[in-house]
Formats: sequence, structure tokens, C-alpha cells
Amino acid sequence: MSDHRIGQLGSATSPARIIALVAKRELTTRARTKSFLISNAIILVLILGGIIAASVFTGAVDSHPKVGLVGSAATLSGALSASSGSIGKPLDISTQSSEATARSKVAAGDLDVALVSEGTGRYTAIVKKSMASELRSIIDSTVRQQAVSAALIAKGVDPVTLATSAASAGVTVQPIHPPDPNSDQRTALAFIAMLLMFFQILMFGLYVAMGVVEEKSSRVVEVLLATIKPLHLLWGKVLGIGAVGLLQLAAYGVVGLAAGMGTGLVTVTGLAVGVFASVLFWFILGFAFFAVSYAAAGSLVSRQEDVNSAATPITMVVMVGYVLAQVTLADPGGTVASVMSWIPPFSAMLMPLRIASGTTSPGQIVVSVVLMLLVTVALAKVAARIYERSVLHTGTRVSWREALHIGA
Amino acid sequence: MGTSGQQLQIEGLWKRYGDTVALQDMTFTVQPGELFGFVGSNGAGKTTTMRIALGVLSADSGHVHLGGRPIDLALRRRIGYMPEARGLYPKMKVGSQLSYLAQLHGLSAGEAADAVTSWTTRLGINNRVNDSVDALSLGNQQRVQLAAALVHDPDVLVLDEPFSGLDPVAVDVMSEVLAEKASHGVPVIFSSHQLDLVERLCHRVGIVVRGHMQECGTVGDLRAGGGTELVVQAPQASPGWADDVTGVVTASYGQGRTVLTVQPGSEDVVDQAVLAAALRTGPVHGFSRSQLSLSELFREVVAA
Repeated sequence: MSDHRIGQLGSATSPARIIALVAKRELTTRARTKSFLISNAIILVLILGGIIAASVFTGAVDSHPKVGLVGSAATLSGALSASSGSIGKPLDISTQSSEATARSKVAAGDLDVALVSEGTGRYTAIVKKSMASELRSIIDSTVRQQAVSAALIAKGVDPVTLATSAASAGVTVQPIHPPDPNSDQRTALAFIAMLLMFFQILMFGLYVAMGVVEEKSSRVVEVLLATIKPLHLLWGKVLGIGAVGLLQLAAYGVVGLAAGMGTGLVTVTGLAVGVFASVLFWFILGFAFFAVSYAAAGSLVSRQEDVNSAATPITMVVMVGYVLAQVTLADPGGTVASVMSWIPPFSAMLMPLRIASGTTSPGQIVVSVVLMLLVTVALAKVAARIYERSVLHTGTRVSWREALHIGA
Repeated sequence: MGTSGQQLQIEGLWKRYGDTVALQDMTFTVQPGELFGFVGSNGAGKTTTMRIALGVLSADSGHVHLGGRPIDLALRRRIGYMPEARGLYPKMKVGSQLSYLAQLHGLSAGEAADAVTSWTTRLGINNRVNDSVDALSLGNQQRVQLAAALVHDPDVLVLDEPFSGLDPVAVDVMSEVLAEKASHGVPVIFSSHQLDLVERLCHRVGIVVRGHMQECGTVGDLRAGGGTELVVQAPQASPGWADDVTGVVTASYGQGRTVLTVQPGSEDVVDQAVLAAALRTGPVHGFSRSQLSLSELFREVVAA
């Protein structure tokens, strides 16, 4: 019978199962707490509400100016939609049965402007208070164009022929750095990516440190380590807490993207999804790096109130990353951004920004990922050793110097 | 019975903390089915020995064997351990906590659930499984801690001060459980300062002094080594009356009351000689022969 049981033990206590058990406990005890569920529900509602509010504020929803044409002004319809369309500001054009109807609609806000023909190329624009200058210039130029065409026809010139022969003349603008039509959205996406990254890494990194100290201060760590290896406990904890962070990040991202696309605030769908995916991916790398460091920091102390001071050196590194991210955000293609985004762990924070701003190449992404992975694995080994040596030490705080010395 | 029925062997453990020697050549064996009491003053090295056996501390030298095999992680999983510093997740529910620990020891989720039900019932905390640990009284937390040591049906039990902080009812439950595990062939080692309890429960006792196993054996063996005590009440006897009786080792004279220890091995002859000598001094109101209690033995060993 004893052999039978030992046979069973092999699989029942494999490292993968132990790590999974530890991770599952971390995930369920954290994700099932009322405070966690409530705070996340509130944040998701805020994201949703914020995006809807932003889309209304920036006028992304139903933003086409409504133009009503009365009587013979209806002949402007084709020319108006053509010229407004050519500059990317489409109009919502309708024909109105009478001037009175048009006036009441303008007064009610159903129309932004009503155009009434006064004969021989003259029009009156009826507006509530004033006309937006952009809309005015569209209407002005269309009306003038119509008058010019009419005059040309009267002189026997075919406006179409004229337009064709004039088309080849003109100035072609050749920018050295062509402006990106989506740069506003790119910057916004990059900014959001940066904020999410920092919050998640700082918050969940501290959760790891606090989780380690919780086990030390409650002394349960001695029961655990009489049964499982310190490394398995460490990785289970990092994975479990990291999974919570990743799920939370994914939930924020999915809700944010869906709301952004639904309201028309985000039009660069492919880019947005790409940035979102890169944030998730780099979060995994960045979190792994900082989480093992935070675990080592947590193992140095025995009381929750000492966690922050032990974690200060790591938090400082995160803050340096934050400053670098601000620099990158201001100038994604600049020297600081392009140099620092190669260097772990800053690459985890800077690369999503540069991906969002479109200033990086697939080659750099691959190489910086590999570098980050290598450094994380090396750091995990050192951190795990510090953790192993310090986690059963109770009482006075172990200094970083001692921890690194015994770890060497 | 699993891998129980195996001998736990502690062999030549040494441990230093800086200049302090915590263990010096700590050696003893706990037989299958044996209840072994581990006694010693605070700081004598009991906890250090147990922590080394469980692998949470490493020895400078020496070995721990179970069933003749050096103890490793797989064997360690078969030990039930109750550390001196009690440790449980304070905010975790009793039931899920015990189930988690059982699964870490290799039980499936189903087996763990059964084990949790049976042990919490046995220890009288089955109505608290859905409460978080920190909502329980200290005594009940202690029961949960014992359940945590037993929930995976261990082949060896190592318990550091399992009786401290227990009410008399809980002491009885704990004693019963330990005796039962031992009767199933499990070697059980526990440390305690409650020497009357150790004397009552244990098959063998080890007395640790300054990191070394000073005395080890059955309580009977230790007593035999400690000798027999005679108390004589003879009011007219003058001090020194028993000094010349052959076989008397020590004698202390009080107000008509004399306490003597006699040479081990010849108690039955010497005590009659003492009685005869006492009668020669005048009336004898009391004469008794007693064996040393474990507490007295302990004091003697520690003082030596």
C-alpha cells in the first residue's frame, strides 16, 4: 500500500500542481473580496461614463452640421456636399418646404442653418445666433463657385473644361515629416496605456509584497514551507496576483475600447486593439520583473507597516520609468525615448507608448522583448534566493545589503 | 497505513547562530507507534530540532532519516507539523484553509473535502468551517492548527508545544488523538513544558539541555537513573542520624522530617535499614518511599 501511495504522490505534488494551487488561492481570495468587486464595478462604470461624456463633449456623436435648403437654394445641394466632403467635414443636407418651417426648425435647434435663395446668386443664411466660421466658409465658397460657373457659362466657357485644364496647375505639398492624421488618437491611446501600466504594476507589485508579509506575519509561511518549496510559493503568488492584475487590465481595456468604438471616439480600431494587446503583453513582462522584486522586498520585513520602506528602491525604479514615460509621451521619437525603450525594465513601460505613437519597428519590439525576458529570468533567480533566505526570518528587518550579500 | 510504521531518526545535528551553539550533536530516535515527549528549558533546542526535521531550517551538520531514508521534500509532505509559532491565514475560512493545506500535501480536492469534514468533526470545530480563522477563540484556532497537521493523514507527527493554551477538554481531545495516531503505528514527537502530561502520555521522554539530548528513555528508565527518595518523620531524631546508614546518598534534615535519597539498585535493602535506624531514635510517625516525578527528574538533569 505504501508503494501505491508514493506512486500517486508523484503527480499530486508536481511543481506545476503546487504552483497552480498557490496561484488559485491568491486569485480567489483576492478576486472574491467584496471590496475588489465593488471597486472594479465602479471603475468600469467610470470608464464607460467618461468615454461617453468625452464623445459628447468633443462632438464625435452626430457632429455633422445640419443645413436646410429652402426653395431654389436646393440647387446648391450637390455642390455643397461635394465641397464639404472634399475637406472631410460632411454636412447633413435637407430640403425644407418653406422658409417658415425652416425658421422654426432653426429656432428649435433641429437645423444649424437654413439657406433661402434671394435670386441671382444671393442667399440668406438663417441661424439661431451665429454661424460657425468653418460652416460659413464652406457655404461661402460653394455659393461663389456657383456664381463663377454661372458667369463663365454666360461667357460661353464650359466650367468642366476649365476645371480640367486648371487641374494640372497648382502646388503639391511635399512634407518631410508628414503629419499623422491620427496623431491625436495615438497620443491619447499612449497616455492611457502609460497610466494603466503604472497603476497596475505599482498596485499589484505592492500586493505581492504585502502578500509575502501577510504570510510572514501570520507565520503560516512555516506551515507552507514545511510542505512546499519557497520557489513554488513565490511563483504561485506572483502568477496568481498577476492574473488578477491582467484580468482587471483586460476588463478595463475591453470596456474602454468597446465604448470608444461604439461612440465613435476611437476610429483607429486596428491601432487601438494593437496598443491594447501590447499593453497586456508588456504588463506581463513588466509585472513579472517588478513582482519578483517586490516579493524579495516583502520577505525582508515581518510587519505590514515596514513594507513600503523595504519596497522603496523598487518603487523608485518604477517612478524613474514614469518620468521616462512622460518624456517619451512628449517626444516618442526622441533620443531618450529611443535609447531607454531598449533597456529593461523601462522597455516594459516605454514600448507600449512607442507602439502607440508608431515610432518603433517590429525588430526593436522583438529584441526588447528578448532582453526584458533575459533580465527578468536573471532577476527572478536573485530575488528568489533573497526570498528563500529571508522569508523565515522573523523579527528585525533584513537590510537589502545583508539580503544581497547572503544571496551572492 | 501508508508509509507509517517507519522510524524517525535524528542523528548528530549541529546548529550554530553566530557564537551561540543551538544544537550540539542532537541524536535520538522515535520508533513507529511511539509517543515521544521532548522536554527541555526554553532555548534548549527543541524547536530548532523540529524545524530542521521539517526542512524549514538547515542544520550545519547531521542527518534526519525516515524509515532509513534521508528526509526530502516528498517524505516531508507525509509529516504533520504544528510549529511553535502558530500559523494560519487569519482572513481565510477554516474549511477552505484546511482543504488548501491538504491539497498542498497531495490530496485531491475531493479527498481534501472528506478529510476536512472528518477532522473538524473529530476536533469539535465542524460548525466553524465557514468562519474565518481570526473570528475563532485562541483555543479553537489551536484546534484548527492541529487539524492542519492531521488533515493529510500524516505518517509522522511533529508537534511543537501542542498543548499550550488549550483548555482541559481540548487537552483531553488532543491527548486522545495523539495516542490514537501512535496506536496506528505513527511515530509521534511533541514538545511540552507540561511534564505531568508528558509523563502520563509518552512512551519515552527526551530531556534536552543546551542543545544536547541529556537523558532519553522511558519515564521508568529515567526514574531508575534518578534513584528513590525516602521521607522519614521522626520528631526526636537528631540531625545526622542517618548519615552512617550504608546506601544513603544524600540526607537533608528538617524539623523532625528527613528526606533521603538512596543508591539506585539496592533500595529494597537500604530502606529497611533506614527504617530501623529511624526507630532507634524514638517514635516514627511517617515513613514513605517515593519515586521522583518527571518534574523532579527534569530539574535534576537540568541542574546537573
